Amino acid sequence: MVQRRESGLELRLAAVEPPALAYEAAGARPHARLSAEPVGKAGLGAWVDRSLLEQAQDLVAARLLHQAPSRVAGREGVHTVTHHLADGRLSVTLEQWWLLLAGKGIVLSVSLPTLDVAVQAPVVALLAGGLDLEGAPA
Amino acid sequence: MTVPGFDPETGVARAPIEELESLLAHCDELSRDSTEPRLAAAMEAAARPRCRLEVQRGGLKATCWVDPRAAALLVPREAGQGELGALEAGAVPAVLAGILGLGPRPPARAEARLPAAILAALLAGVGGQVLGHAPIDPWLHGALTSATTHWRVDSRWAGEQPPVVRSVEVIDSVQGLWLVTPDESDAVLVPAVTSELWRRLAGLFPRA
Repeated sequence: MVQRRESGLELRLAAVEPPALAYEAAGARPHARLSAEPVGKAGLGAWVDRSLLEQAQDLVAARLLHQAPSRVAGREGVHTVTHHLADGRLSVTLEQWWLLLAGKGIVLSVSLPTLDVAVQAPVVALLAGGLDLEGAPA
Repeated sequence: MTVPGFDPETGVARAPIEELESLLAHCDELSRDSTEPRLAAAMEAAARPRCRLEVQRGGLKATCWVDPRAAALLVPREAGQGELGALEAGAVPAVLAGILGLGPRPPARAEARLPAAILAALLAGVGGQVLGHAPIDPWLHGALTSATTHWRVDSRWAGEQPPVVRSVEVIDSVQGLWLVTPDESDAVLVPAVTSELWRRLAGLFPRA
């Protein structure tokens, strides 16, 4: 499914649907999302920092746990982990990989109930490691 | 039976720690009798926890009892005071991250191994030499004795045979983060990043 939004192009590519979900009925449904947005002249670090600040304003009780350089789809990127509350009370972990490509900022976001983070770590690693932008403009 | 100083808005009771500990000894009774639903649920968690967390960070020692619905958190404060928090179970990881002060930190630069007794002495600030052992590397000694935060979380799961006990132990030093893993009488310090520590902390909680 491809959606065009005001902020740019957004591609919804995958949904993680593990069995026996914690909190499934309470609005913390696991999902993965790949999005693209124009970044202007901002470099990778500045764009990620700005986006994290904006994201923290949209999330409830957001806490940045991890931010470090990382190879993403064979390119220089950034890996972040943010914790926040869904429905104001449920613990959710948002793991993201950020990179710049052809003037756009690409973000792979994987959101999981925190209680599922350890069990689903192999799935998340597959998603991140399997991100392939081969053929995309450099 | 009531809990003194309990604020239904915040879900926290503030009172002398001994008083709160005495109340927790009657948590089963409180879970039945309390007119505060939030407190009753927390006392039910304390009476029949799915897991019990022991959290140590520096001199702070907190205990948290968690069931699938709610949690009770006991935190000693200064001057013999304490706080008893009534939480929803889903909020516990966020509270844990706050207690541990988790945030982006670099990994330590190298793995290290040293006798667990020496590590304990260094972290306690009471020396760090043991007869028969070579002096530890100066850079490691410096990292372990300057501006270091040491924390550990132990989780004991109820109703499992054999009993399940999971632990995460971390040293946050000027050199960066180490995950501490025991190996017989040694402690192995493995460079770690917060994302890995978070996965391990999440694994302390039973999923059902």
